[in-house]
Amino acid sequence: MSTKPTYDELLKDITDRAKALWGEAKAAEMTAALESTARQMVDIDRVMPRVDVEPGFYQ
Amino acid sequence: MPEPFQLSVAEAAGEIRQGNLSPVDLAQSLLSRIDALDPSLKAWVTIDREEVLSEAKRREDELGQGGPKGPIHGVPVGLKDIYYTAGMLTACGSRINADFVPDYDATTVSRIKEAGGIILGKAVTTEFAMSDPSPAVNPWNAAHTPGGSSSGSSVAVAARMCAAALGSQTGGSTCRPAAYNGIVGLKPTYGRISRYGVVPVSWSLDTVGILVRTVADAAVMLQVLAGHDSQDPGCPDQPVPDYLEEMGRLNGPPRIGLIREFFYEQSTPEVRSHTDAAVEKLAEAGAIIQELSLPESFSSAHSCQRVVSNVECAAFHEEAYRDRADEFGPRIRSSIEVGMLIPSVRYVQAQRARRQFRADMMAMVQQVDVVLMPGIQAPAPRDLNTTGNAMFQQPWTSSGLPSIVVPSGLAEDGLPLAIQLAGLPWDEGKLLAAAGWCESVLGVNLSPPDYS
Repeated sequence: MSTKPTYDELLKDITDRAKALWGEAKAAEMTAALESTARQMVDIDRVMPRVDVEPGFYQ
Repeated sequence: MPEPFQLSVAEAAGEIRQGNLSPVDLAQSLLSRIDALDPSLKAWVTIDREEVLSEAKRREDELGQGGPKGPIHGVPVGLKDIYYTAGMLTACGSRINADFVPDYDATTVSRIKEAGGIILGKAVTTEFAMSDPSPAVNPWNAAHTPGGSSSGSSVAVAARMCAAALGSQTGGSTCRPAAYNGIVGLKPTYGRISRYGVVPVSWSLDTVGILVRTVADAAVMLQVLAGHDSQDPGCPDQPVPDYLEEMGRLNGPPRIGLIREFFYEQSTPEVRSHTDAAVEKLAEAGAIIQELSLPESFSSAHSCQRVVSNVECAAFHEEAYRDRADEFGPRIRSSIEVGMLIPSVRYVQAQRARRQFRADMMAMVQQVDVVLMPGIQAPAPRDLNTTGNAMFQQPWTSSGLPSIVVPSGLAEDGLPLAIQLAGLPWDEGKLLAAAGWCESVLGVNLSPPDYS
């Protein structure tokens, strides 16, 4: 079973952050950008580096 | 000899070296050209005419006192208005930086001067090199966007107001406007050219871009600019070959990997058939064409680029945003705000995915000399409220592989089309050689009709 955060969880997380920073009205204005960002974060989680690639990232 | 403003970098430098052209006459020719065209094209934001002419005179004097200083002696070069220039306004197309005057030159600016070049002026940019459009218009049709973010640099080169200009690329900001304006745009390997003194969008993506009219000029300018800079931690000590010599390195036509997947799916039918016709011409001239498939990690490449760019943009502008949020344009403000919301773990996952993507793209490109795809989905949009779509450039920026666009003809609406080539990291020599070969076979040299 995948333990990656789902689209809904990611969207809720960044929407809550937006509300905390700028309030409900601004968060509502940002809905399209927040949804697009949540989709991007889901996309990214589909690709994780293989072991032969990853160590280099930290060097 | 044609009018001085029509000369390429290599031609102008050659004429100056041989004593056939005075740097002062060249500078004067370009300044007159700017005076005539810029009221309608709006490519420039700051030009110090007295300083340009005084530098040109100095270059002229140097010729008589020991010869040329370097490969672009006496040649004026334009700069996107995000490059630090000591004593000259660097406003970044913004209200935030409207009065900012740096007290030192970017490393790239110093290298242009050390090579004998002259800083012609600052070309307009979209606000902080993001997506809010600049006032520049496309010289092929003023109702169409010139693209961005290196709008002014691309328009200036296309309209013969200078032979070379620097841009930058975080998504598609060099190669896309180059394609929209019918010129050559080179985005070298990430780290090939120092970004010290270049106002950042995103440190792990930003790459200095070169805008010129011929592939040979891209080689000349890369020679001037490439090389280690200890002041840019992302600019390693990699050897810099002789790029003009490297252009002659191909022993015959190149092996070209054609990428139809994604790039054809996202293109208009006109762009698809145009690219197929170009590829057929290259094959007839002897190129070995092999169709390649994209790696699985390509599916996240655009998302990685967006997430990383937004977070790093937010980090750079954090302080200004807190104090002066209302002074940012709507698109950069949205990027900053989204970047402030993205959790740190998601940012790091994007960087990890980029690492895999880079490895996969290198494995794909290693099968051939270069890969080829359309440079743009469609000609420049008829909309001055957009800078177009960067999706054909983002994968090369995100992976850090070098890429170049070369004009390939005109669309039905009279606007330029281009092919895009990409190669392996640090192997710009082979990329330039293949691009030069394609340029020669296609035989396309574009000049906007109203400005020819």
